[in-house]
Amino acid sequence: MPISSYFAYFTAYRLNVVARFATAIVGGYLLTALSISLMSLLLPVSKVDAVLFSVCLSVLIHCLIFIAVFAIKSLHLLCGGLLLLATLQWMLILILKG
Amino acid sequence: MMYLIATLLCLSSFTAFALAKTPHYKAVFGTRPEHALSQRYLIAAWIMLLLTLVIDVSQAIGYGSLIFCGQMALSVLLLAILLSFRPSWMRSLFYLLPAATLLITVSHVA
Amino acid sequence: MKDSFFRSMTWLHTWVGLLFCWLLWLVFFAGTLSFFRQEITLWSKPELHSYSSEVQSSQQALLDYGFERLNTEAPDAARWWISLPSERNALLRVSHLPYPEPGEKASWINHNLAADSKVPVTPRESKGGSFFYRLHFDLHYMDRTTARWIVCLASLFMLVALISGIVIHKRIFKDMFQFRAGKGSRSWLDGHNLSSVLALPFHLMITYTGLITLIFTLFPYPAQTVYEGGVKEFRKEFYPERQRPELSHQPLTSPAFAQSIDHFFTNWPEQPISRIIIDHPRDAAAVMKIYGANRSEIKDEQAVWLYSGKTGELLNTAHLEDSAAAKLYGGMIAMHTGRLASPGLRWLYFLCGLAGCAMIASGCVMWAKRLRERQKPTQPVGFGLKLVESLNLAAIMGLPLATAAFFYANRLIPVTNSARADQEVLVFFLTWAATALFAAKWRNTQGWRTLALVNALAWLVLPLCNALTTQGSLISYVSNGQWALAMFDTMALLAAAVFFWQSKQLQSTQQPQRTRRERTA
Repeated sequence: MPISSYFAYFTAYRLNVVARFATAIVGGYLLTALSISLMSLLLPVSKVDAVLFSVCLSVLIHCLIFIAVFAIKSLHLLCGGLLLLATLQWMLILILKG
Repeated sequence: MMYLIATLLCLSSFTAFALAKTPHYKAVFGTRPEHALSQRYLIAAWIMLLLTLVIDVSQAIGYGSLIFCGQMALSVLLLAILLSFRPSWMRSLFYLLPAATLLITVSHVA
Repeated sequence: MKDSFFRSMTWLHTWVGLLFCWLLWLVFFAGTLSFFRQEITLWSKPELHSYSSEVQSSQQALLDYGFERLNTEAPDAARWWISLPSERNALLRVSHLPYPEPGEKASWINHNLAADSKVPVTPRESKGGSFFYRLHFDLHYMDRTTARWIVCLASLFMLVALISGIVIHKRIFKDMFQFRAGKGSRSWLDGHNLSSVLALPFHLMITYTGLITLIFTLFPYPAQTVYEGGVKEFRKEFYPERQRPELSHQPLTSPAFAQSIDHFFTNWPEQPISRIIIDHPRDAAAVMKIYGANRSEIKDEQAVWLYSGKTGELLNTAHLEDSAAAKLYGGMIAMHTGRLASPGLRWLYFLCGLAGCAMIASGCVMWAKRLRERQKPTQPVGFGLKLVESLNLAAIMGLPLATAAFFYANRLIPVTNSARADQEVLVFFLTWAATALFAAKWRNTQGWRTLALVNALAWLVLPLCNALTTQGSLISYVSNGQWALAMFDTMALLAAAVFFWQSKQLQSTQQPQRTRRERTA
């Protein structure tokens, strides 16, 4: 392997890693926030209970997203999926809150 | 008191788990175990572990399961220390553990 | 990216673990100590050692005394607070909070009293176990909210590292009893595996529930979506006992506190009281809050009865019958704090916590060793590796040493010094900084050995220092049955033994390494 292409591979790899970390932390956080907010609206229990249930699950959700971000190979699929999910949930929240 | 019995049972269970593994069995007894023997150890280990859980949970569901996690940690730590530094001492556990369990059970009932 | 899921998980495990390993080490170490928060506080206040927690007076009698005292001493206070003695705290505490002067913040005035004789006891000013408790989520010298966010992020990384660790190392369950001592990085790997597997349920539980304790800082959004007023309004509904009544500015001439307490004792005779707080005791809006002591339920929130001070009737109760969600949330927090634990379970918690510390420390060390192994012998040592090695040494050896220094400071700083509690904390951080300076210069095996020996010495002399500066010693603690104090000294001796053993191990591993280096040279 010529040294320049090795270097290019290495930079691309590093960029990929940084991008994934950013997605996992920031994207994962936003998506979790949206999903638990939606959950707290949808759960058929009292307000206090809905909030408590959804915050208890939040960590689990964030963790799963975190791992999924690193497990899904295609960066396009990943970003697309996250964006789609986030938009859907956001719209649902807006509709539900009226 | 029941928790103490459960702890001893948990320790016995993990002793059996360890002995079901060929390298540990060899370290303790000096010979290779037969496959059937390892299987029997494994089954005994699972039964005792389940029994431990049952005893703990029968005392109190949440509290018991917390204790159960702690007991497993304690047992694995003790056994790991024994197996790493004094594997031959494991043999005496064969008499000590049932004897201690019996003693405590009897004194508990009496 | 990486070829397979497993490889990406391996990668994730290494890097996620490493980014925060030193902070996590601090959090785990201080958190493990805080399981014995009350006991450490007791140790750090020798003035309290002579009081036994077996109290003869009834709760009713103690409350009567407390009310009488507050009535004469501070009838016009903003709040009254009476804490009754419990198993882990032998003293009766009677406190009041004056109304603040305009533009100022009022502070509590506390009186600690021996429960039976009512003799006032003035323990030395010290944070004791609370220092470690605060340190493990508020850090120190830092804004609280920022600190909590950082700790949250670190815990999230820990959780990710744990899960990815389970995914990649399925083998760990296979060789879970294996520990091959004195074999260089192989032993560190064994130690890492052993300490993570043996308390795996605990590690997962404590990390998850730790995040849950700070969850409203991290994710206020559900509460903001459901409630107009956000988290504040949610708290109002979930914790009615934390609300302060508004002043009515009408004097309360004949308060009905005694009737309320009678009502409580007749209706809930089995329920011990942990404390009573009264808001605005001289105002018609006065509210008395009776906090019931928890027994072995997995919950941290105490049940609270709110009585009107004017009429004496029961206004509201909180956390008496929990809903499923409240049980889940409360259960998680209670599992994290371990306040419910009896001594047996508390020791198991402590053991698992130590296993967590060992897991993090061995992970850090292993990583540095791998980095070094990967380097060619001729290659100059890079700044990154130097930094990692120094930080490892400074964190892993420095924190226990700083802790020992904190305890020495507690015994040796004169009791009369003003702000001595802060001086103790200063000694803690100065010792740590000194270790870090040492580690920056000597970060080889020799450095590790020296610090291990210093640690061993420090912990070995600590019980001696205690015996010389206080009335008691390990022997008197055992003969008087003061087990909390006796165990503190025993643990110090045990820590000394472990550090001594480690310095021996380091000596024996040093030999082959040196020959290898000579061979390559």
